[in-house]
Amino acid sequence: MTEENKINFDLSTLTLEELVEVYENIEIFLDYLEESKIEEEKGKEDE
Amino acid sequence: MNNFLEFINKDIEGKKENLEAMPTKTKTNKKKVNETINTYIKKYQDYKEKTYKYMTVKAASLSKVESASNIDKIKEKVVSLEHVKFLLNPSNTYLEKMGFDTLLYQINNYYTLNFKSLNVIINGFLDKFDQAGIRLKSDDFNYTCYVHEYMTAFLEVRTKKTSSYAHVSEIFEQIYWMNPEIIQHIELNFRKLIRINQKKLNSYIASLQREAMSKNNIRNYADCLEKLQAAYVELNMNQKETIGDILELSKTGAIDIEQYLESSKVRKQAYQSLIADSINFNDKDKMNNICEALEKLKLNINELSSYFEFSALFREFKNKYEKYLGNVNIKNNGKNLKDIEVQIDKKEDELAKINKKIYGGRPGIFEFKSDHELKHLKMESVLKAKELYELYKKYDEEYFNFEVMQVLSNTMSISDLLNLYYSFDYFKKLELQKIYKLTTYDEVIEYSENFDLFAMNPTNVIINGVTVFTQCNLPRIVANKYRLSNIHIEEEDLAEDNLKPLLNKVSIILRTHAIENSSTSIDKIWFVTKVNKFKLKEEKTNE
Repeated sequence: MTEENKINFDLSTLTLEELVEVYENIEIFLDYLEESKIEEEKGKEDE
Repeated sequence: MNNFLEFINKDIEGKKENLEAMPTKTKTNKKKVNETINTYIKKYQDYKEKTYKYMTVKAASLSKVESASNIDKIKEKVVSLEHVKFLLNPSNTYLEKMGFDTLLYQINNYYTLNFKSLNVIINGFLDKFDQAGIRLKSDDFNYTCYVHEYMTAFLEVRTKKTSSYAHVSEIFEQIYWMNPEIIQHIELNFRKLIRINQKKLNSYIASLQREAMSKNNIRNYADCLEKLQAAYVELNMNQKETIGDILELSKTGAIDIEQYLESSKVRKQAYQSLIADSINFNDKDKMNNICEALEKLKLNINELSSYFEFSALFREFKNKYEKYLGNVNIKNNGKNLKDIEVQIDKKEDELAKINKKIYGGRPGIFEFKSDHELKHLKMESVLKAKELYELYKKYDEEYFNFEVMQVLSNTMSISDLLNLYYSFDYFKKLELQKIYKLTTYDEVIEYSENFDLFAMNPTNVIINGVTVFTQCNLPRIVANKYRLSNIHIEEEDLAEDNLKPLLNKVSIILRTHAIENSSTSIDKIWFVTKVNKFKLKEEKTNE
Protein backbone atom coordinates (compact mmCIF):
# COMPACT_ATOMS: atom_id res chain seq x y z
CA MET A 1 0.00 0.00 0.00
CA THR A 2 1.44 3.34 -1.02
CA GLU A 3 1.75 6.32 1.31
CA GLU A 4 -0.97 8.13 -0.66
CA ASN A 5 -3.41 5.27 -0.24
CA LYS A 6 -2.76 4.88 3.44
CA ILE A 7 -4.13 8.31 4.26
CA ASN A 8 -7.41 7.30 2.76
CA PHE A 9 -8.07 4.76 5.46
CA ASP A 10 -11.69 4.78 6.46
CA LEU A 11 -11.80 6.43 9.87
CA SER A 12 -15.37 5.30 10.35
CA THR A 13 -14.13 1.75 10.92
CA LEU A 14 -12.41 2.84 14.12
CA THR A 15 -14.06 2.70 17.50
CA LEU A 16 -14.39 5.95 19.47
CA GLU A 17 -11.55 4.86 21.71
CA GLU A 18 -9.33 4.05 18.71
CA LEU A 19 -10.05 7.41 17.13
CA VAL A 20 -8.91 9.20 20.27
CA GLU A 21 -5.84 6.97 20.40
CA VAL A 22 -4.98 7.80 16.77
CA TYR A 23 -5.23 11.52 17.46
CA GLU A 24 -3.21 11.32 20.67
CA ASN A 25 -0.49 9.20 19.03
CA ILE A 26 -0.22 11.66 16.15
CA GLU A 27 0.12 14.55 18.61
CA ILE A 28 2.82 12.72 20.57
CA PHE A 29 4.71 11.90 17.39
CA LEU A 30 4.52 15.50 16.17
CA ASP A 31 5.95 16.68 19.51
CA TYR A 32 8.71 14.07 19.18
CA LEU A 33 9.53 15.28 15.68
CA GLU A 34 9.75 18.92 16.78
CA GLU A 35 12.08 17.95 19.61
CA SER A 36 14.22 15.84 17.26
CA LYS A 37 15.20 18.73 15.00
CA ILE A 38 18.91 19.49 15.04
CA GLU A 39 20.62 22.88 15.04
CA GLU A 40 22.57 22.79 11.79
CA GLU A 41 25.23 25.54 12.21
CA LYS A 42 26.91 23.82 15.17
CA GLY A 43 27.91 20.72 13.18
CA LYS A 44 31.31 19.90 11.65
CA GLU A 45 32.12 21.07 8.10
CA ASP A 46 31.64 18.43 5.41
CA GLU A 47 34.77 16.36 4.86
CA MET B 1 -2.97 -4.13 8.57
CA ASN B 2 -6.60 -3.50 9.17
CA ASN B 3 -7.04 0.01 10.21
CA PHE B 4 -5.55 3.44 10.48
CA LEU B 5 -4.56 3.05 14.14
CA GLU B 6 -2.48 -0.02 13.35
CA PHE B 7 -1.01 1.74 10.36
CA ILE B 8 0.14 4.85 12.17
CA ASN B 9 1.49 2.91 15.14
CA LYS B 10 3.64 0.83 12.79
CA ASP B 11 4.49 3.85 10.65
CA ILE B 12 5.56 5.95 13.65
CA GLU B 13 7.75 3.13 14.89
CA GLY B 14 9.40 2.80 11.48
CA LYS B 15 9.93 6.53 11.07
CA LYS B 16 11.50 6.78 14.53
CA GLU B 17 13.89 3.91 13.69
CA ASN B 18 14.74 5.57 10.41
CA LEU B 19 15.54 8.89 12.09
CA GLU B 20 17.66 7.23 14.76
CA ALA B 21 19.67 5.43 12.07
CA MET B 22 20.46 8.60 10.13
CA PRO B 23 23.98 10.02 10.53
CA THR B 24 24.19 13.43 12.22
CA LYS B 25 27.90 14.25 12.20
CA THR B 26 28.15 16.74 9.39
CA LYS B 27 26.16 19.76 8.37
CA THR B 28 24.84 17.87 5.36
CA ASN B 29 23.80 14.96 7.61
CA LYS B 30 21.94 17.32 9.88
CA LYS B 31 20.30 19.09 6.97
CA LYS B 32 19.11 15.75 5.67
CA VAL B 33 17.73 14.76 9.09
CA ASN B 34 15.83 18.02 9.38
CA GLU B 35 14.48 17.72 5.85
CA THR B 36 13.25 14.22 6.64
CA ILE B 37 11.66 15.44 9.89
CA ASN B 38 9.90 18.24 8.02
CA THR B 39 8.52 15.77 5.50
CA TYR B 40 7.18 13.62 8.37
CA ILE B 41 5.71 16.67 10.10
CA LYS B 42 3.91 17.71 6.93
CA LYS B 43 2.47 14.24 6.51
CA TYR B 44 1.40 13.90 10.14
CA GLN B 45 -0.05 17.40 10.27
CA ASP B 46 -2.22 16.30 7.41
CA TYR B 47 -3.26 13.13 9.28
CA LYS B 48 -3.95 15.18 12.35
CA GLU B 49 -6.15 17.67 10.52
CA LYS B 50 -8.14 14.95 8.80
CA THR B 51 -8.62 12.99 12.01
CA TYR B 52 -9.53 16.15 13.92
CA LYS B 53 -12.10 17.14 11.31
CA TYR B 54 -13.65 13.69 11.35
CA MET B 55 -13.76 13.57 15.16
CA THR B 56 -15.38 17.01 15.54
CA VAL B 57 -18.13 16.10 13.06
CA LYS B 58 -18.67 12.80 14.87
CA ALA B 59 -18.69 14.51 18.30
CA ALA B 60 -21.22 17.08 17.08
CA SER B 61 -23.58 14.33 15.94
CA LEU B 62 -23.16 12.50 19.28
CA SER B 63 -23.86 15.71 21.22
CA LYS B 64 -27.43 15.80 19.98
CA VAL B 65 -29.03 14.44 23.14
CA GLU B 66 -32.16 15.42 25.00
CA SER B 67 -31.79 18.82 26.61
CA ALA B 68 -33.49 20.40 29.60
CA SER B 69 -37.14 21.22 29.20
CA ASN B 70 -38.16 24.83 29.32
CA ILE B 71 -38.61 25.35 33.02
CA ASP B 72 -38.46 29.14 33.01
CA LYS B 73 -42.23 29.43 33.38
CA ILE B 74 -42.31 27.07 36.37
CA LYS B 75 -39.44 28.97 37.95
CA GLU B 76 -41.29 32.25 37.46
CA LYS B 77 -44.34 30.72 39.14
CA VAL B 78 -42.25 29.60 42.14
CA VAL B 79 -40.61 33.03 42.47
CA SER B 80 -43.99 34.72 42.29
CA LEU B 81 -45.50 32.42 44.95
CA GLU B 82 -42.41 32.83 47.15
CA HIS B 83 -43.02 36.57 46.98
CA VAL B 84 -46.65 36.11 48.07
CA LYS B 85 -45.49 33.85 50.89
CA PHE B 86 -42.99 36.50 51.97
CA LEU B 87 -45.68 39.18 52.01
CA LEU B 88 -48.20 37.01 53.86
CA ASN B 89 -45.73 35.49 56.35
CA PRO B 90 -47.65 35.70 59.65
CA SER B 91 -44.43 35.48 61.69
CA ASN B 92 -43.12 38.97 60.95
CA THR B 93 -44.30 42.57 60.51
CA TYR B 94 -44.25 45.44 58.03
CA LEU B 95 -40.64 46.15 59.11
CA GLU B 96 -39.39 42.87 57.66
CA LYS B 97 -41.84 42.78 54.76
CA MET B 98 -40.66 46.24 53.64
CA GLY B 99 -37.05 45.04 53.90
CA PHE B 100 -36.22 47.79 56.40
CA ASP B 101 -34.59 45.20 58.67
CA THR B 102 -32.02 44.41 55.94
CA LEU B 103 -31.15 48.12 55.58
CA LEU B 104 -31.02 48.55 59.36
CA TYR B 105 -28.58 45.66 59.52
CA GLN B 106 -26.43 47.32 56.86
CA ILE B 107 -26.34 50.77 58.46
CA ASN B 108 -25.87 49.21 61.90
CA ASN B 109 -22.79 47.35 60.64
CA TYR B 110 -21.51 50.11 58.38
CA TYR B 111 -18.08 50.22 60.02
CA THR B 112 -17.86 46.61 61.25
CA LEU B 113 -18.35 45.17 57.78
CA ASN B 114 -16.60 47.94 55.82
CA PHE B 115 -19.49 48.99 53.63
CA LYS B 116 -18.35 50.97 50.62
CA SER B 117 -21.18 53.44 50.37
CA LEU B 118 -23.43 55.04 52.95
CA ASN B 119 -25.31 56.77 50.12
CA VAL B 120 -26.55 53.47 48.75
CA ILE B 121 -27.96 52.46 52.14
CA ILE B 122 -29.62 55.85 52.75
CA ASN B 123 -31.10 55.86 49.25
CA GLY B 124 -32.36 52.34 49.98
CA PHE B 125 -34.32 53.65 52.97
CA LEU B 126 -35.65 56.67 51.07
CA ASP B 127 -36.69 54.49 48.10
CA LYS B 128 -38.73 52.26 50.39
CA PHE B 129 -40.54 55.24 51.90
CA ASP B 130 -41.14 56.57 48.37
CA GLN B 131 -42.63 53.23 47.32
CA ALA B 132 -45.09 53.47 50.19
CA GLY B 133 -46.02 57.01 49.09
CA ILE B 134 -44.13 58.70 51.93
CA ARG B 135 -41.95 61.45 50.49
CA LEU B 136 -39.52 62.37 53.26
CA LYS B 137 -38.33 65.97 53.55
CA SER B 138 -35.32 67.45 55.29
CA ASP B 139 -37.48 68.45 58.28
CA ASP B 140 -38.24 64.76 58.87
CA PHE B 141 -34.57 64.32 59.70
CA ASN B 142 -34.46 66.25 62.93
CA TYR B 143 -33.07 63.61 65.28
CA THR B 144 -30.05 65.83 65.90
CA CYS B 145 -28.91 69.03 64.24
CA TYR B 146 -26.11 67.05 62.61
CA VAL B 147 -28.49 64.58 61.01
CA HIS B 148 -30.58 67.50 59.79
CA GLU B 149 -27.60 69.22 58.21
CA TYR B 150 -26.36 66.07 56.53
CA MET B 151 -29.73 64.86 55.29
CA THR B 152 -30.68 68.31 53.96
CA ALA B 153 -27.61 68.22 51.73
CA PHE B 154 -28.29 64.57 50.84
CA LEU B 155 -31.91 65.19 49.82
CA GLU B 156 -30.90 68.18 47.68
CA VAL B 157 -28.60 65.95 45.63
CA ARG B 158 -31.20 63.17 45.51
CA THR B 159 -33.89 65.56 44.27
CA LYS B 160 -31.59 66.84 41.51
CA LYS B 161 -31.04 63.20 40.51
CA THR B 162 -27.33 63.78 39.96
CA SER B 163 -24.88 61.09 40.81
CA SER B 164 -22.34 63.40 42.43
CA TYR B 165 -22.43 63.19 46.17
CA ALA B 166 -19.07 64.99 46.54
CA HIS B 167 -20.61 67.95 48.42
CA VAL B 168 -22.49 65.56 50.72
CA SER B 169 -19.23 63.76 51.49
CA GLU B 170 -17.59 67.07 52.41
CA ILE B 171 -20.41 67.84 54.82
CA PHE B 172 -20.15 64.36 56.28
CA GLU B 173 -16.47 64.87 56.95
CA GLN B 174 -17.08 68.22 58.67
CA ILE B 175 -19.81 66.74 60.87
CA TYR B 176 -17.83 63.59 61.60
CA TRP B 177 -15.14 65.46 63.51
CA MET B 178 -17.77 67.12 65.68
CA ASN B 179 -19.97 64.06 66.01
CA PRO B 180 -18.38 60.71 65.10
CA GLU B 181 -21.66 58.95 65.84
CA ILE B 182 -23.48 60.61 62.96
CA ILE B 183 -24.24 57.28 61.22
CA GLN B 184 -25.84 55.89 64.38
CA HIS B 185 -27.99 59.01 64.57
CA ILE B 186 -29.07 58.66 60.94
CA GLU B 187 -30.04 55.07 61.78
CA LEU B 188 -32.04 56.23 64.82
CA ASN B 189 -33.79 58.84 62.70
CA PHE B 190 -34.85 56.18 60.20
CA ARG B 191 -35.94 53.87 63.02
CA LYS B 192 -38.13 56.68 64.37
CA LEU B 193 -39.55 57.43 60.92
CA ILE B 194 -40.34 53.75 60.42
CA ARG B 195 -42.16 53.68 63.77
CA ILE B 196 -44.18 56.86 63.32
CA ASN B 197 -45.19 55.86 59.79
CA GLN B 198 -46.25 52.39 60.88
CA LYS B 199 -49.87 52.92 59.85
CA LYS B 200 -49.06 54.09 56.32
CA LEU B 201 -46.47 51.36 55.85
CA ASN B 202 -48.89 48.69 57.06
CA SER B 203 -51.51 49.94 54.69
CA TYR B 204 -48.98 49.84 51.82
CA ILE B 205 -48.09 46.24 52.70
CA ALA B 206 -51.80 45.37 52.83
CA SER B 207 -52.23 46.78 49.30
CA LEU B 208 -49.24 44.74 48.10
CA GLN B 209 -50.69 41.62 49.71
CA ARG B 210 -54.07 42.15 48.04
CA GLU B 211 -52.46 42.75 44.67
CA ALA B 212 -50.16 39.70 44.93
CA MET B 213 -52.99 37.44 46.16
CA SER B 214 -55.31 38.50 43.37
CA LYS B 215 -52.58 38.15 40.71
CA ASN B 216 -51.71 34.64 41.89
CA ASN B 217 -55.22 33.59 42.77
CA ILE B 218 -54.37 33.00 46.43
CA ARG B 219 -57.00 33.02 49.17
CA ASN B 220 -54.79 33.04 52.24
CA TYR B 221 -51.38 32.02 53.63
CA ALA B 222 -52.29 28.31 53.91
CA ASP B 223 -53.53 28.34 50.32
CA CYS B 224 -50.26 29.99 49.26
CA LEU B 225 -48.17 27.31 51.00
CA GLU B 226 -50.20 24.58 49.31
CA LYS B 227 -49.81 26.11 45.84
CA LEU B 228 -46.11 26.74 46.45
CA GLN B 229 -45.55 23.12 47.43
CA ALA B 230 -47.28 21.97 44.24
CA ALA B 231 -45.16 24.37 42.18
CA TYR B 232 -42.00 23.03 43.80
CA VAL B 233 -42.99 19.45 43.01
CA GLU B 234 -43.50 20.47 39.38
CA LEU B 235 -40.16 22.31 39.39
CA ASN B 236 -38.28 19.36 40.86
CA MET B 237 -39.71 17.01 38.28
CA ASN B 238 -38.68 19.29 35.43
CA GLN B 239 -35.38 20.23 36.97
CA LYS B 240 -34.10 16.66 37.10
CA GLU B 241 -30.65 16.33 35.60
CA THR B 242 -30.88 15.43 31.91
CA ILE B 243 -28.40 13.64 29.67
CA GLY B 244 -27.68 17.05 28.14
CA ASP B 245 -26.76 18.33 31.61
CA ILE B 246 -24.47 15.35 32.24
CA LEU B 247 -22.78 15.89 28.88
CA GLU B 248 -22.22 19.55 29.72
CA LEU B 249 -20.85 18.68 33.19
CA SER B 250 -18.42 16.30 31.54
CA LYS B 251 -17.35 18.76 28.84
CA THR B 252 -16.70 21.51 31.36
CA GLY B 253 -14.77 19.14 33.63
CA ALA B 254 -17.25 19.42 36.50
CA ILE B 255 -17.40 15.62 36.50
CA ASP B 256 -14.72 13.14 35.48
CA ILE B 257 -16.48 10.91 32.96
CA GLU B 258 -13.63 8.38 33.13
CA GLN B 259 -14.95 7.46 36.60
CA TYR B 260 -18.22 6.40 34.91
CA LEU B 261 -16.63 3.97 32.45
CA GLU B 262 -17.38 0.31 33.10
CA SER B 263 -13.69 -0.38 33.72
CA SER B 264 -13.42 2.37 36.34
CA LYS B 265 -12.52 1.27 39.87
CA VAL B 266 -14.38 4.31 41.26
CA ARG B 267 -17.59 3.19 39.56
CA LYS B 268 -17.19 -0.42 40.67
CA GLN B 269 -16.56 0.69 44.22
CA ALA B 270 -19.63 2.97 44.19
CA TYR B 271 -21.90 0.09 43.10
CA GLN B 272 -20.36 -2.49 45.40
CA SER B 273 -20.30 -0.33 48.50
CA LEU B 274 -23.79 1.15 48.21
CA ILE B 275 -25.93 -1.58 46.71
CA ALA B 276 -26.71 -4.79 48.59
CA ASP B 277 -24.90 -7.93 47.32
CA SER B 278 -28.21 -9.63 46.58
CA ILE B 279 -29.02 -7.12 43.82
CA ASN B 280 -28.11 -7.99 40.25
CA PHE B 281 -26.96 -4.73 38.60
CA ASN B 282 -28.35 -5.92 35.28
CA ASP B 283 -31.85 -6.40 36.70
CA LYS B 284 -33.57 -3.34 35.24
CA ASP B 285 -36.59 -3.32 37.57
CA LYS B 286 -34.51 -3.74 40.70
CA MET B 287 -32.06 -1.07 39.57
CA ASN B 288 -34.98 1.28 38.86
CA ASN B 289 -36.14 0.82 42.47
CA ILE B 290 -32.63 1.30 43.80
CA CYS B 291 -32.22 4.51 41.80
CA GLU B 292 -35.56 5.82 42.98
CA ALA B 293 -34.34 5.39 46.56
CA LEU B 294 -30.96 6.90 45.69
CA GLU B 295 -32.68 10.01 44.29
CA LYS B 296 -34.24 10.48 47.73
CA LEU B 297 -30.95 9.74 49.46
CA LYS B 298 -29.30 12.44 47.35
CA LEU B 299 -31.82 15.01 48.63
CA ASN B 300 -31.30 13.74 52.18
CA ILE B 301 -27.53 14.13 51.85
CA ASN B 302 -27.94 17.74 50.70
CA GLU B 303 -30.33 18.38 53.58
CA LEU B 304 -27.90 16.85 56.08
CA SER B 305 -25.07 18.90 54.62
CA SER B 306 -27.07 22.13 55.17
CA TYR B 307 -28.01 20.93 58.66
CA PHE B 308 -24.33 20.46 59.55
CA GLU B 309 -23.45 23.82 57.99
CA PHE B 310 -25.79 25.62 60.40
CA SER B 311 -25.59 23.27 63.39
CA ALA B 312 -23.55 25.85 65.34
CA LEU B 313 -26.48 28.25 65.06
CA PHE B 314 -28.93 25.57 66.27
CA ARG B 315 -26.65 24.79 69.24
CA GLU B 316 -26.36 28.46 70.12
CA PHE B 317 -30.13 28.87 70.06
CA LYS B 318 -30.56 25.77 72.22
CA ASN B 319 -28.04 27.02 74.78
CA LYS B 320 -29.65 30.43 74.91
CA TYR B 321 -33.32 29.48 75.14
CA GLU B 322 -33.41 26.04 76.76
CA LYS B 323 -33.75 27.65 80.18
CA TYR B 324 -37.01 29.31 79.14
CA LEU B 325 -38.73 26.03 78.30
CA GLY B 326 -41.75 25.58 80.51
CA ASN B 327 -41.28 29.13 81.71
CA VAL B 328 -42.50 31.06 78.72
CA ASN B 329 -44.31 34.14 79.87
CA ILE B 330 -45.44 35.71 76.64
CA LYS B 331 -47.47 38.43 78.31
CA ASN B 332 -44.53 39.58 80.38
CA ASN B 333 -42.32 39.65 77.31
CA GLY B 334 -44.87 41.78 75.55
CA LYS B 335 -44.84 44.10 78.54
CA ASN B 336 -41.04 44.42 78.46
CA LEU B 337 -41.24 45.46 74.85
CA LYS B 338 -43.95 48.02 75.56
CA ASP B 339 -41.92 49.40 78.50
CA ILE B 340 -38.91 50.00 76.29
CA GLU B 341 -41.12 51.64 73.66
CA VAL B 342 -42.45 54.03 76.33
CA GLN B 343 -38.90 54.84 77.41
CA ILE B 344 -37.91 55.48 73.79
CA ASP B 345 -40.91 57.80 73.28
CA LYS B 346 -40.05 59.70 76.46
CA LYS B 347 -36.40 60.15 75.56
CA GLU B 348 -37.21 61.10 71.97
CA ASP B 349 -39.55 63.81 73.34
CA GLU B 350 -36.73 65.09 75.52
CA LEU B 351 -34.40 65.08 72.54
CA ALA B 352 -36.98 66.93 70.44
CA LYS B 353 -37.15 69.65 73.11
CA ILE B 354 -33.37 70.10 73.04
CA ASN B 355 -33.43 70.19 69.25
CA LYS B 356 -36.19 72.79 69.30
CA LYS B 357 -33.93 75.03 71.32
CA ILE B 358 -31.07 74.45 68.89
CA TYR B 359 -33.12 74.96 65.72
CA GLY B 360 -35.06 77.90 67.15
CA GLY B 361 -31.96 79.50 68.60
CA ARG B 362 -30.66 81.57 65.78
CA PRO B 363 -32.62 83.32 64.39
CA GLY B 364 -35.59 82.46 66.54
CA ILE B 365 -37.73 83.25 69.46
CA PHE B 366 -34.82 83.95 71.72
CA GLU B 367 -31.17 84.67 71.30
CA PHE B 368 -28.49 82.48 72.80
CA LYS B 369 -26.34 84.22 75.32
CA SER B 370 -23.29 82.70 73.72
CA ASP B 371 -21.98 80.10 71.28
CA HIS B 372 -21.02 78.22 74.38
CA GLU B 373 -24.70 77.66 75.21
CA LEU B 374 -25.40 76.37 71.69
CA LYS B 375 -22.42 74.06 71.88
CA HIS B 376 -23.68 72.76 75.21
CA LEU B 377 -27.13 72.04 73.76
CA LYS B 378 -25.61 70.20 70.83
CA MET B 379 -23.54 68.07 73.20
CA GLU B 380 -26.63 67.38 75.24
CA SER B 381 -28.52 66.21 72.15
CA VAL B 382 -25.67 63.89 71.19
CA LEU B 383 -25.64 62.37 74.69
CA LYS B 384 -29.41 61.86 74.57
CA ALA B 385 -29.08 60.18 71.17
CA LYS B 386 -26.44 57.89 72.64
CA GLU B 387 -28.87 56.82 75.39
CA LEU B 388 -31.51 56.23 72.74
CA TYR B 389 -29.13 54.13 70.68
CA GLU B 390 -28.63 51.84 73.69
CA LEU B 391 -32.39 51.71 74.25
CA TYR B 392 -33.01 50.71 70.62
CA LYS B 393 -30.43 47.96 71.01
CA LYS B 394 -32.31 46.71 74.05
CA TYR B 395 -35.54 47.03 72.09
CA ASP B 396 -34.13 44.85 69.29
CA GLU B 397 -33.13 42.18 71.76
CA GLU B 398 -36.55 42.21 73.42
CA TYR B 399 -38.28 42.30 70.04
CA PHE B 400 -36.60 39.09 68.90
CA ASN B 401 -36.99 37.47 72.32
CA PHE B 402 -40.68 38.19 72.15
CA GLU B 403 -40.90 36.54 68.72
CA VAL B 404 -38.94 33.54 70.00
CA MET B 405 -41.31 33.15 72.94
CA GLN B 406 -44.24 32.93 70.51
CA VAL B 407 -42.86 29.72 69.03
CA LEU B 408 -40.69 28.35 71.84
CA SER B 409 -41.64 24.90 73.10
CA ASN B 410 -39.93 21.60 73.74
CA THR B 411 -41.43 20.32 70.49
CA MET B 412 -39.96 23.17 68.43
CA SER B 413 -38.41 21.59 65.32
CA ILE B 414 -35.33 22.62 63.36
CA SER B 415 -37.75 23.53 60.61
CA ASP B 416 -39.57 25.96 62.98
CA LEU B 417 -36.24 27.47 63.94
CA LEU B 418 -35.27 27.94 60.29
CA ASN B 419 -38.57 29.65 59.65
CA LEU B 420 -38.05 31.94 62.64
CA TYR B 421 -34.68 33.22 61.46
CA TYR B 422 -35.86 33.28 57.85
CA SER B 423 -38.65 35.64 58.93
CA PHE B 424 -36.26 38.01 60.71
CA ASP B 425 -33.41 38.83 58.37
CA TYR B 426 -31.83 41.37 60.73
CA PHE B 427 -31.47 38.88 63.58
CA LYS B 428 -30.50 36.04 61.29
CA LYS B 429 -27.61 38.06 59.86
CA LEU B 430 -26.51 39.26 63.30
CA GLU B 431 -26.46 35.70 64.59
CA LEU B 432 -24.61 34.32 61.54
CA GLN B 433 -22.08 37.15 61.77
CA LYS B 434 -21.47 36.41 65.44
CA ILE B 435 -21.36 32.61 65.31
CA TYR B 436 -19.29 32.24 62.15
CA LYS B 437 -17.10 35.27 62.93
CA LEU B 438 -17.86 36.89 59.57
CA THR B 439 -15.97 40.06 58.78
CA THR B 440 -17.31 41.19 55.40
CA TYR B 441 -20.81 41.82 54.12
CA ASP B 442 -20.19 39.48 51.20
CA GLU B 443 -19.57 36.65 53.65
CA VAL B 444 -22.72 37.55 55.57
CA ILE B 445 -24.72 37.55 52.34
CA GLU B 446 -23.28 34.17 51.31
CA TYR B 447 -24.20 32.55 54.63
CA SER B 448 -27.55 34.28 54.73
CA GLU B 449 -28.49 33.16 51.22
CA ASN B 450 -27.44 29.58 51.94
CA PHE B 451 -29.50 29.71 55.10
CA ASP B 452 -32.57 31.01 53.25
CA LEU B 453 -32.22 28.34 50.56
CA PHE B 454 -32.09 25.71 53.29
CA ALA B 455 -35.06 27.24 55.12
CA MET B 456 -37.14 27.41 51.94
CA ASN B 457 -36.13 24.03 50.54
CA PRO B 458 -39.36 22.11 49.96
CA THR B 459 -37.53 18.78 49.85
CA ASN B 460 -36.52 19.00 53.52
CA VAL B 461 -37.91 16.02 55.39
CA ILE B 462 -35.41 15.11 58.11
CA ILE B 463 -35.44 18.44 59.93
CA ASN B 464 -39.23 18.56 60.09
CA GLY B 465 -39.22 15.83 62.71
CA VAL B 466 -36.07 16.78 64.59
CA THR B 467 -36.53 18.94 67.65
CA VAL B 468 -34.15 21.70 68.66
CA PHE B 469 -33.93 20.69 72.32
CA THR B 470 -33.56 16.90 72.01
CA GLN B 471 -30.36 15.05 71.17
CA CYS B 472 -30.79 13.19 67.92
CA ASN B 473 -28.48 10.99 65.83
CA LEU B 474 -29.50 12.04 62.32
CA PRO B 475 -26.94 9.88 60.45
CA ARG B 476 -28.25 6.78 62.25
CA ILE B 477 -31.88 7.60 61.39
CA VAL B 478 -31.04 8.14 57.70
CA ALA B 479 -28.79 5.05 57.44
CA ASN B 480 -31.45 2.79 58.99
CA LYS B 481 -34.11 4.12 56.66
CA TYR B 482 -32.13 3.17 53.53
CA ARG B 483 -31.21 -0.32 54.71
CA LEU B 484 -34.86 -1.14 54.08
CA SER B 485 -34.33 -0.17 50.42
CA ASN B 486 -31.27 -2.44 49.86
CA ILE B 487 -28.88 0.48 50.13
CA HIS B 488 -25.85 0.05 52.34
CA ILE B 489 -24.83 3.11 54.25
CA GLU B 490 -23.21 3.28 57.63
CA GLU B 491 -23.58 6.06 60.17
CA GLU B 492 -20.04 7.24 59.49
CA ASP B 493 -20.79 7.60 55.76
CA LEU B 494 -23.24 10.30 56.79
CA ALA B 495 -20.80 12.16 59.02
CA GLU B 496 -20.22 15.77 57.96
CA ASP B 497 -16.82 15.16 56.33
CA ASN B 498 -17.98 12.04 54.48
CA LEU B 499 -21.06 13.50 52.79
CA LYS B 500 -19.23 14.73 49.70
CA PRO B 501 -17.68 11.34 48.80
CA LEU B 502 -21.01 9.66 49.49
CA LEU B 503 -22.81 12.11 47.23
CA ASN B 504 -20.23 11.41 44.54
CA LYS B 505 -20.92 7.66 44.74
CA VAL B 506 -24.69 8.21 44.60
CA SER B 507 -24.30 10.55 41.64
CA ILE B 508 -22.13 8.04 39.76
CA ILE B 509 -24.79 5.34 40.09
CA LEU B 510 -27.67 7.68 39.23
CA ARG B 511 -25.94 9.19 36.20
CA THR B 512 -24.73 5.82 34.95
CA HIS B 513 -28.28 4.48 35.24
CA ALA B 514 -29.68 7.52 33.43
CA ILE B 515 -27.12 7.27 30.61
CA GLU B 516 -27.61 3.53 30.19
CA ASN B 517 -31.34 4.06 29.86
CA SER B 518 -30.97 6.76 27.21
CA SER B 519 -30.09 6.89 23.52
CA THR B 520 -26.47 7.72 24.30
CA SER B 521 -23.71 5.86 26.15
CA ILE B 522 -20.88 6.62 28.56
CA ASP B 523 -18.36 5.90 25.79
CA LYS B 524 -20.01 8.49 23.56
CA ILE B 525 -19.99 11.12 26.33
CA TRP B 526 -16.34 10.26 27.03
CA PHE B 527 -15.54 10.72 23.32
CA VAL B 528 -17.36 14.06 23.05
CA THR B 529 -15.49 15.25 26.16
CA LYS B 530 -12.14 14.20 24.73
CA VAL B 531 -12.82 15.92 21.41
CA ASN B 532 -13.87 19.04 23.28
CA LYS B 533 -10.53 19.03 25.10
CA PHE B 534 -8.67 18.67 21.78
CA LYS B 535 -10.73 21.52 20.40
CA LEU B 536 -9.90 23.79 23.32
CA LYS B 537 -6.21 22.93 22.97
CA GLU B 538 -6.31 23.72 19.25
CA GLU B 539 -8.04 27.04 19.87
CA LYS B 540 -5.43 27.94 22.48
CA THR B 541 -2.58 27.05 20.10
CA ASN B 542 -4.10 29.17 17.34
CA GLU B 543 -4.55 32.22 19.55
